[in-house]
Amino acid sequence: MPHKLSEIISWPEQREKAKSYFDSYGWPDNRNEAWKYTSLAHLQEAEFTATSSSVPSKTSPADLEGLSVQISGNMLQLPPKDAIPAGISITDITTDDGARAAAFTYLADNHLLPALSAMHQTSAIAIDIEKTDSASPLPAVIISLTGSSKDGACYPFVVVRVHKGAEARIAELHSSDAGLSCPLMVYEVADDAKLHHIRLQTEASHTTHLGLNQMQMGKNSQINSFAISMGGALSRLETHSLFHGTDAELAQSAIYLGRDRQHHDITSFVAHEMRDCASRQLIRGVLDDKARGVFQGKVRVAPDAQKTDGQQMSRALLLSRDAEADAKPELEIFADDVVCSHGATVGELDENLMFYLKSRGIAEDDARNMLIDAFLVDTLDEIEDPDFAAFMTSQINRWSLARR
Amino acid sequence: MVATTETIAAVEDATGAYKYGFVTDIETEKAPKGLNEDIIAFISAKKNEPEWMLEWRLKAYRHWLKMDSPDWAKLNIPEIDYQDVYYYAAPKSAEGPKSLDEVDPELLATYEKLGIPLNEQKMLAGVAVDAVFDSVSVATTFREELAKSGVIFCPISEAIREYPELIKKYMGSVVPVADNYFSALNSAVFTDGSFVYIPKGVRCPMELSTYFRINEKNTGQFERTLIIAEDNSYVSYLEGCTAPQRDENQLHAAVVELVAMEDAEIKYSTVQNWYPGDETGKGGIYNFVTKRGICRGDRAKISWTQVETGSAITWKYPSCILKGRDSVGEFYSVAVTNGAQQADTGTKMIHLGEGSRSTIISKGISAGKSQNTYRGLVEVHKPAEGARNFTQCDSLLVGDKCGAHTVPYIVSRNPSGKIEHEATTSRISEDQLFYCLQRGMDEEESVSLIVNGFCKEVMKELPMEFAVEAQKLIGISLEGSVG
Repeated sequence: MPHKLSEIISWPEQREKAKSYFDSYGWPDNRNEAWKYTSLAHLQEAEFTATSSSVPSKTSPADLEGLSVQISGNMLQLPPKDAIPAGISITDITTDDGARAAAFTYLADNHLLPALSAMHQTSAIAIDIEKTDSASPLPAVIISLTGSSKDGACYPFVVVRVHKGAEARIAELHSSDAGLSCPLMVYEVADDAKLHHIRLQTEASHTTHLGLNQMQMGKNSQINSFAISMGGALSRLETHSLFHGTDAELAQSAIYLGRDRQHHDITSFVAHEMRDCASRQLIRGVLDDKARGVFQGKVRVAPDAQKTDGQQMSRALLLSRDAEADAKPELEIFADDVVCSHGATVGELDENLMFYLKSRGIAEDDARNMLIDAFLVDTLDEIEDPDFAAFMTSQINRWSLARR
Repeated sequence: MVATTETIAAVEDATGAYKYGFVTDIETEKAPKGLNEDIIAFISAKKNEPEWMLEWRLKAYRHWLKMDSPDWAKLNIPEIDYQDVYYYAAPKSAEGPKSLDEVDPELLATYEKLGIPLNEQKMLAGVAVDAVFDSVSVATTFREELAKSGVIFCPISEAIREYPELIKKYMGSVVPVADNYFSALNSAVFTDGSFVYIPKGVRCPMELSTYFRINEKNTGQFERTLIIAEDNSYVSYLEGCTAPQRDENQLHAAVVELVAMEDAEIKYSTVQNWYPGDETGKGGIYNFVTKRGICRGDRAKISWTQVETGSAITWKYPSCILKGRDSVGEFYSVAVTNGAQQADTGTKMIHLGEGSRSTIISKGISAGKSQNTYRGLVEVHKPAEGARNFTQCDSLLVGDKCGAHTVPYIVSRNPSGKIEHEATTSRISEDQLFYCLQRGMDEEESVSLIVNGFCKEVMKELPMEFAVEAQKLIGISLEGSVG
């Protein structure tokens, strides 16, 4: 039934495997099909010190309420025990090899990002959300990931387990200013459970961000996930979503916003291993100046995953002559009774729409901004949780204002 | 003998085995198996080629030795022993026949089975056929009529001898010798193919057609086609093929180059129905083809239409380099896979010219245990101001053991370029099937009808001569896929 029938490999073995993988393959460049549009050749020469160890300074943003968990390099700041309501537990598993090894069970083999994490991770936490009898919903858990020093690297590892029937709200806020930021997040959503998830990446303009979010879904589970990437010099967000049970639903959307010489890469892999599941993805990118945006999205439907509904749409908007957008949506389908589609477009603002607005007396710049906002806003409707939606909308607005 | 093969063919027809799976027994003259510089020199000598051509071949061969077989396609290719292949086989007549009377009657009978009535062509369709039987062109018709309008249509080996300037200028200009593994191999050992030259302002008076046919056991077929359309000219070229049933894998690596000058249009249509192998894919043709056209002049147009139903393995990406201002590239494709067939096919549209436009319509049908992949690249470069692309890929799955995959690559470096890609995957709807069945059609007929409807957008692009055969082929290819 699961994606991969691997047994749990002990943590030392996991590290060993990762090391031997990295020793043989190293940093990928664009000769590697999975990294065709995003080369990491610049990291070959780079040297990073061990994880930075500054005391976490940032607090969670005022406009998002919830339980705050902070990870900065190898320093953790967890909420005091008495502030955590029943149904939520947060555990430091940095030295718990068993827990770390178990969370690695379904991560992709022979893949750079899990390998980096296994080799270098110095801080790890587990968050458990259980079903409660209480009528009021559990607070959101806000995970702030920071880390300082330009020549430092950080490899935080978080596993979130949403237990059977529970409903969780998790926000990831990545604002590291390390040279290399490689967060690995694993979400295990059990049968009948639901996860609301947002991820915001606003890292420093010198940071190389290589994030992996793994989503594992049980029977009848639901995930509503939304990501915004706007920080970093080079940023890649990979999401791997695996259906382990039938009747599960995944809504997973993302926006990338690029300016200057930023490079944004959204790479997603949705594996429909079980029948009667649905996935829906909307991807939007806006690229200004000399920014480059990459979207690679693979949807795989396994031979027995009948009645799969897989939808994916990616659109990129180029605002400047020097911006570049690359897309590689991919359908890999081995079952016949499915409805799958993907679409991809790349282009500039529609001249007819511009003309319409201008003919109504709206100034060119205002018209342009209205159309850019409109291009992004319809994806924000995908966010179900109202607090999360408001927070992400404010982030988009902030970017738009800064651009003007 | 002819009667016997006809009987076999009739039996196989009735039993649903490969329809064109007969073998013509003609003594052939061939070089020993294997590939080395001596063999290449042998081929070159056999073709009475000038020294520069041999040099060109050897250069390609030396490149090829340094290259690796590509592995990025979603294909499971058994290891090919390139030393276990014959690189030259020719029907025995030492000199080219001067008229149809001189052509081996058995050869002519073979063509007739394939539906090419050489004797009646003038009346039938106005199609000139340059028939390739194994490696040497044995009959070329309508040459005189074409010559009147200045059109050159001849075997490439003849063109090398007669029009060396054109060959030197254009051969390898679209697909360079070292472009890829299979094109390098082809450049080293190609034995025949067609050469077409349409002079300025000429609209080719008839559709040009070459029937390819692989016949000799273990003979690789390495065709080389070069079509040049000068300013303001037009040509429609038809390529179709069937091959007899064989036990051992047959290697095919063709190269096709198209050059369209200002306001010229080239329409290239293919129906490919080579032996797909048995239930397990054993014995089928390996089809590694490099096809590429360049719109060199402004407003030039290149249109590829293909119906791919045969071969055990298809690796083929007919492409357009849209260099001229307002040039146009089109790709219409139907790929049907059944049994254990594997196809990885699609196109590349490289937009360089201002206002260049491209359209891609791809229909993939997978049945049995086959795997069918669309792989396409659309690239808009900086100078391609206002470039436009529309891509639509639809996949249809027949049965639950097959796979349909779509891998588009999109690269945009100019904001004024508009690129749209759409893809869907579904199966034959039960409603449609039920409707056909209750009208008294059997299941296979119904599937054939529905699939032909699914492909209609592409089929209507085929020249009339091909459309009927192609429709039948799709039906035949899907036999045994339902029930």
